[in-house]
Amino acid sequence: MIFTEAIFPLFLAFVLVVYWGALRGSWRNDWLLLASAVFYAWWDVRFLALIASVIAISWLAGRFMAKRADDRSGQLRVLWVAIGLQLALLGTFKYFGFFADAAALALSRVGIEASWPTLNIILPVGISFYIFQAISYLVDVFRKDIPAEDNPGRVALYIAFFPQLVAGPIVRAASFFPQIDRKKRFSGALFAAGARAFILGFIYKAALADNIAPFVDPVFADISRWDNASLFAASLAFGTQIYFDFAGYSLMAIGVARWFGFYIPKNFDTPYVSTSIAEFWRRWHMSLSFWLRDYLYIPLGGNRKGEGKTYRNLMITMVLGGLWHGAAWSFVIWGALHGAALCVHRFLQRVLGGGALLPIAGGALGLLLTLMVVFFAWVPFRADNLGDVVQIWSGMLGFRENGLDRLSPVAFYIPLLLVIDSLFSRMGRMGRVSKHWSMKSPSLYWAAMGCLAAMAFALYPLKSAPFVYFQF
Amino acid sequence: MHWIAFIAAALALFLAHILRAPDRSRRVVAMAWFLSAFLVSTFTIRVISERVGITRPTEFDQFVSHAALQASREPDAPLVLFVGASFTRNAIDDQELTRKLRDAGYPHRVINLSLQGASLQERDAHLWAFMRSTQRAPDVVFLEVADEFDRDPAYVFNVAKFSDRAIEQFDPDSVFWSLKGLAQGQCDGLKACLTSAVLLKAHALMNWSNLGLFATGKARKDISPVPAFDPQDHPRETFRLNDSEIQKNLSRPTDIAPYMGPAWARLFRIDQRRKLEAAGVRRVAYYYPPVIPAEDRQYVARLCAGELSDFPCIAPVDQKLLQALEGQVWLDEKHLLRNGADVYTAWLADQIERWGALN
Repeated sequence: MIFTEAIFPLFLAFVLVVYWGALRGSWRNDWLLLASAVFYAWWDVRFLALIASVIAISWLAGRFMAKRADDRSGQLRVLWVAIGLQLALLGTFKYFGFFADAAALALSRVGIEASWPTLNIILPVGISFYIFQAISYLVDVFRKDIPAEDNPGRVALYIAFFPQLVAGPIVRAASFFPQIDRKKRFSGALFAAGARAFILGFIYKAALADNIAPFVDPVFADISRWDNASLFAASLAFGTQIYFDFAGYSLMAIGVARWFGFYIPKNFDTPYVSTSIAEFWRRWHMSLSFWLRDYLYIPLGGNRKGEGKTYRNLMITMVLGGLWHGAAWSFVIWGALHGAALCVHRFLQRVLGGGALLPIAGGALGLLLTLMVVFFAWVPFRADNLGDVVQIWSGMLGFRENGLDRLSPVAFYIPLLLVIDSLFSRMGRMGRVSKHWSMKSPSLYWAAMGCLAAMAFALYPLKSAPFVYFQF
Repeated sequence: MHWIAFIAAALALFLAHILRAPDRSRRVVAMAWFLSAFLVSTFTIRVISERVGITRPTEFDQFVSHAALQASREPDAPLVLFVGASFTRNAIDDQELTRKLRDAGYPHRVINLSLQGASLQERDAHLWAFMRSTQRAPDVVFLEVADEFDRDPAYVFNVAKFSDRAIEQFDPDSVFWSLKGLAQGQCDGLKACLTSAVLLKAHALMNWSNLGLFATGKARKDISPVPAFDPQDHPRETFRLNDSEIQKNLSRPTDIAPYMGPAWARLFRIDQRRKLEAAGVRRVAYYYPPVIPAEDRQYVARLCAGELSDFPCIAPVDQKLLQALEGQVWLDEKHLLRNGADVYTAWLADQIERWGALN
């Protein structure tokens, strides 16, 4: 079940009506957990066993750590075992084939023909997201940022909360658990806030991303047919599509969570206005980049152990971040490109100094360079294989012989939607405008929402594409 | 993506970003404002789409586009339209029929405007789409009648649930007729009736809320023309009848006791004739291409003798025609191959002349 499927509004309406209308106190949390289980089982009921294992490992490890409150080394052992088990699950379900193939290739290079049985495993939806949440819980308990939970149901709700279960945003345990206990009241304001996020997300996903996909997919499906201008346009269009797709999902998740009285922090903050690659990562998939910062980059030493190790840590973090997206070399390359860009940015910052850097990283040139890197790096993220990546990059730079077909002219204007989005997003943040428009007049707000809903319906593609980030 | 969709997307982005949720909202008032604005916006979107000619593109639109092109090439020739389902698509070679009629002294231009699985309402909608695009009323309209479409007022759900085609056809008029038919029990049992009724409401809501209209919509002028006549050269792999079985079926005698047809279909046809005649169509006639099952031929023959006895009505029960169709002229039980279409088209030209349908 995905948010843009026809079944989802029915499911959501039923869960909401029971949640607010028929239940009180902790029963609401139990109901949400049950709804989350149904939501996840909708794909494949077998997935429930996997997520139950992840929950069980997290809860048990938390209990062990709580019982060994004075034994830090014992706690550390429990932490490593628990994280190891979680990563083993992730590795088995997501990376087994990738590493098996890579190992076989490496062995064949030295003359050893290795063959081992291939596991034909379905990739469980959202596994990367909820395993990262589980690790976050374990580490936070170890660091004593939060107490270990006695009640496994609460850990289960944190890991399996259905609005953000399959594609994030990745929520921190420290921000989620207090919300489970908080007394919740249904109000018009709560519903309005959720509706705004949900409808904006729906427009991003259904009205924009899904309508952009038909321009992108045929180009990446058969590179050789298309001329270089079309390759360029399709690459830019994909950068636009993935933003609207993923930001749209995140906003819908935030909106749905709001309707249940939960607050999930935002995941995107107009990333394409970033004037440096470091700023881009503070605005793009924020929940993942902050997770990687707090649970990988900083534990690796961050920038505290000298310049050389800082570059190493940046590269490790970004390559693993790339690999988190999928078991393919193209994601590794995507991560490595971003890691390299972050290293170059840091180097320039150090060499040129903060003030001297402004003309490069603080202005239009910084924006241009950042967008070039980001859109260039989207190519391996989307392409089916490395051969296609090379072809597209060559085409974008004009080193490739032109194909015969050209995309329709509308494709070349698609990135304009990003400009429009960023512009309106800025406008929306101007307090005076928003107060004047809607905060002082609920009637006007709801009328505008009605108008928005009508447009969203007209723009909704009947064959909604799955969210790009579901595969991760 | 149509440019209108691009503008709508930009406008939606503007609204979505500029809004901030109010601190307080009274539920009833909020709901009333939301619904009112939704309805007004939906209506506005529909009006704009109509004005700029945006439609959900279906195969039928391609045939309409082709038909309009043919009509525009001969602005002075009176038009004869054959509007039906797949039986007609495979059976009537409109070019050949035009030639034969012209040889017989008629100046008419025949156009096949049919689509496989098209319900009575869907055919009617596209007939009107043709008339709107050409700004011409055909001289004569031949309407296919068939048992399976009279029997099922929500026929499209058998072939294309939740498709652009199914959503497109359920405008208020079409919903009215389908509901009428379902209310009269024109479905196979209670379960089928309920399923059709639920599907009907879902499709009507999708149509009226313009669901996907901008996303998949296309300007009518950009829809590429395709002829509806679809000649086939080889039988379907699933078609297993041999020559003697075909002959046995085709030679079965037909009982032509007058029959008035299901009430909803009869009323639909009355209403359709009234509107077509008011729009300037000089004559409405009925027909049904030949099929192997005798009961299907008999159904139309009985309608011709009963409900449609006041109109030219050409049922495929002529033994000469049926004898000529014995053998390898069938795509399957209900559809003709190209050589079968040649036989039927020639026979149809004679019948049209004999009935004086064009006089």
